[in-house]
Amino acid sequence: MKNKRGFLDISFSWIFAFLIGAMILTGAIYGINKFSSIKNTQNSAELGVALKNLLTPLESGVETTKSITITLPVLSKINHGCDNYGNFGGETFSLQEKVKNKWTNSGVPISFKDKYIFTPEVFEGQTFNIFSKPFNFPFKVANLIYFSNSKDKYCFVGFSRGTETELKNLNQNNFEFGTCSTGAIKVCLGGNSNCDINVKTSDNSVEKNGEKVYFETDALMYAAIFSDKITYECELKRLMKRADELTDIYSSKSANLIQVGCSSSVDFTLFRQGISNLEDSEDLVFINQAGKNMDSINKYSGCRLW
Amino acid sequence: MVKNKSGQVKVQQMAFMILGLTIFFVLVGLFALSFMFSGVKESKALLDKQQATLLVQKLANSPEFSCGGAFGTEKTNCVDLDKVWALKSKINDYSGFWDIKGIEILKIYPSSTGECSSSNFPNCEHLTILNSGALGVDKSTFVSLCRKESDGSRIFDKCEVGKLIVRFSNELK
Repeated sequence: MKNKRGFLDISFSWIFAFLIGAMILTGAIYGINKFSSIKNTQNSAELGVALKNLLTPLESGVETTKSITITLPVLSKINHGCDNYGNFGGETFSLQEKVKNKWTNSGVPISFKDKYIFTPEVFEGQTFNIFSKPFNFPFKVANLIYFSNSKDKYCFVGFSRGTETELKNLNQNNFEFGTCSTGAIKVCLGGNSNCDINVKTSDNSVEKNGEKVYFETDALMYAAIFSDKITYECELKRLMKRADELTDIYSSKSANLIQVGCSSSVDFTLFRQGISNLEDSEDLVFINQAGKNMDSINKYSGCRLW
Repeated sequence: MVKNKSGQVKVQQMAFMILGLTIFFVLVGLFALSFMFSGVKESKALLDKQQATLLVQKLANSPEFSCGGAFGTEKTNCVDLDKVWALKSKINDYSGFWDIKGIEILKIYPSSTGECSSSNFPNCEHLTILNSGALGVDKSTFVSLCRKESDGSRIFDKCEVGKLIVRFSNELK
């Protein structure tokens, strides 16, 4: 009889215990995984909102430039999206963290319409140097925010003393001037084959990774240096949309001021036409010209609008 | 038969034991989860509060509100009342732009009364720029309210003391 019981002498109660034990273990492992994924999403969302709050002071005040450094708890990947739908367009930020050598899932996207951030579409780092500069076109349109990874050294060669002083005053440890260290991203004014980023003042263009974009004013020059073509062109369209809304406001203000006996005589027609015809940064030159004309009239008018 | 009965009782005992253990672990897990996530709400409220305080300052200095160079050199917390009056008629374009529920301007000094309308502007106390009708939490900052004024013979800049009040979503509570 004993032999008949077979090679494995396991009672039903043991099999039952194994099965239930396996089920409990599987459930526990699944629960832990799910929990850690939720925790990662929570961390990413909290970090995203905190980052948004840290950027807000960069937009207030009348300073010419402002800078901050942000250090995230772990190596992070920032996914930056931009769209130009609606009256102002918008942008989204989502953070992924590197935990145990693996990237967490893309976090909750934090979106905003009132910020203009210039970064590549995806970039990694733990410490970011950030600075902002007002974009006047010809009136103030927004404060532009530029991100750079503190590990990426940017070496500025041939820039004017004014630009160098402005960048030096930011006290960003990843900016070099004149003499470049090995591995630094060389940003040259005037065009040079040895440079990673070429800024040409002859046609106000920035060439980077074989792609060319156009700029007017230093604020947009920095924007072209620190972002990629897709982000730059998208953010530029968003900026022009806001400039268009502001033009409307200034135009109404100008009309209202006539009642006070104050005529500004600024004509917004060409400027607005330029904005509505804007296809890409190459068209910026025409809008800038119209803007300059408006600004010179505004400066010498009895009632300055901006 | 007796042996079989004792085996059945043992299995039953084990089943109840395992069931009890499972329920115990599930309860411990739920307790741990509620403990871990109890800070999420507070953390969100804190971040929203920070955001609200920063946004009022930002709004006062944004291109839509700030005086810029229209009244001499650029100043912080200076609101161009003529520009804001023009903005009021275009505020629908700005829906969702700042992610806020209301914007109001209150003139503090010199004192005046009444809600601003086209018939009494700028001799009024209270200017509602955006009012979504939603309840929320108000945050404010003191500002200079500047505008162009005429006394019949000359045009001059007139600045008064006011408050910029911004209403945020109820979620802040």
